[in-house]
Amino acid sequence: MKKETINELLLRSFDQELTGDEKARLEDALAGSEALRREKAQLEALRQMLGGLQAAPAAGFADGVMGKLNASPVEATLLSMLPRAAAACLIVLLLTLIGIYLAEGSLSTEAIIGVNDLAPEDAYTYLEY
Amino acid sequence: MHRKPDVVERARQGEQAAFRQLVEENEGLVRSTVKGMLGDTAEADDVAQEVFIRFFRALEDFREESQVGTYLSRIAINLSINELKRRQRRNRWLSVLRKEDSQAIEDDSMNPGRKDMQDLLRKALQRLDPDFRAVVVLRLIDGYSVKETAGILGLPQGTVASRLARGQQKLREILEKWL
Repeated sequence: MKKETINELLLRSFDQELTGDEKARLEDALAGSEALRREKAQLEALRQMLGGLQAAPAAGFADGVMGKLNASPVEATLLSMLPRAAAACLIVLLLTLIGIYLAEGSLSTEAIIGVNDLAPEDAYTYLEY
Repeated sequence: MHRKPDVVERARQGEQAAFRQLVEENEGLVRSTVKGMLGDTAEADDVAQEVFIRFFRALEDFREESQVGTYLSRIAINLSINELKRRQRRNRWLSVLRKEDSQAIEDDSMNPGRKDMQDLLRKALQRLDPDFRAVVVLRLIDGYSVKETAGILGLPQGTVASRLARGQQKLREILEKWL
């Protein structure tokens, strides 16, 4: 019997009823193979651990749901748009900085606020106005 | 997970306390399902809350032939898969800017504590294809039978059994040194 077939039988045995013949084949294979017994034990341990992953109640979860339900439609819409708005602002900022770097060759404070190309007398001129 | 027609009816009629009761009774199930699908992330609880919001909006159409638990699980799986697709699109953009997180299962200890083991298990679950992950989550974390899992996912029982077997096999291979 090919190991793959016994392996499939072993996996199936946890969740489906095997026929009499299938059970006998699996038991014979388990009796004759330590590797297969180890695999079975590992699968049993894995299934037990998965069963232990159930989430414990979280403080404030129900309050959060009821709060969202009771939020006004406008509030709910604005809240849902917040992440996208933040992402859009970040992209604009990034593009602006890239533009400044390409134009000025630097991201210094002077380059960002646009006084890189100003001479001191220009400031005096602006002050006059 | 038995039916509570009285509570559902009261919630349908707008009684907030009744709906809150439904949330509290099914919170564990929904959060387990979503965390199983998305991992223990901040967005998992947002998605879990959204499951109940969708349920509230669908209360009028909820037929009590289906149990509340299985109905919520179906919504939870669908919203989780949507979130995974959103995550995939987002990661495609971000992978241009940074190295991709390999989601490696790294733990040098041969005897990780219970919490570490749970973390390892959650990371291993994220390595499964979502279709296989959904079956493993519903059957082995949430405790649904193969038949119930097939009903929730709208799949034949044979497909569920096959995905369950392959999912478990893959998890065992990933976690072999710790099992």
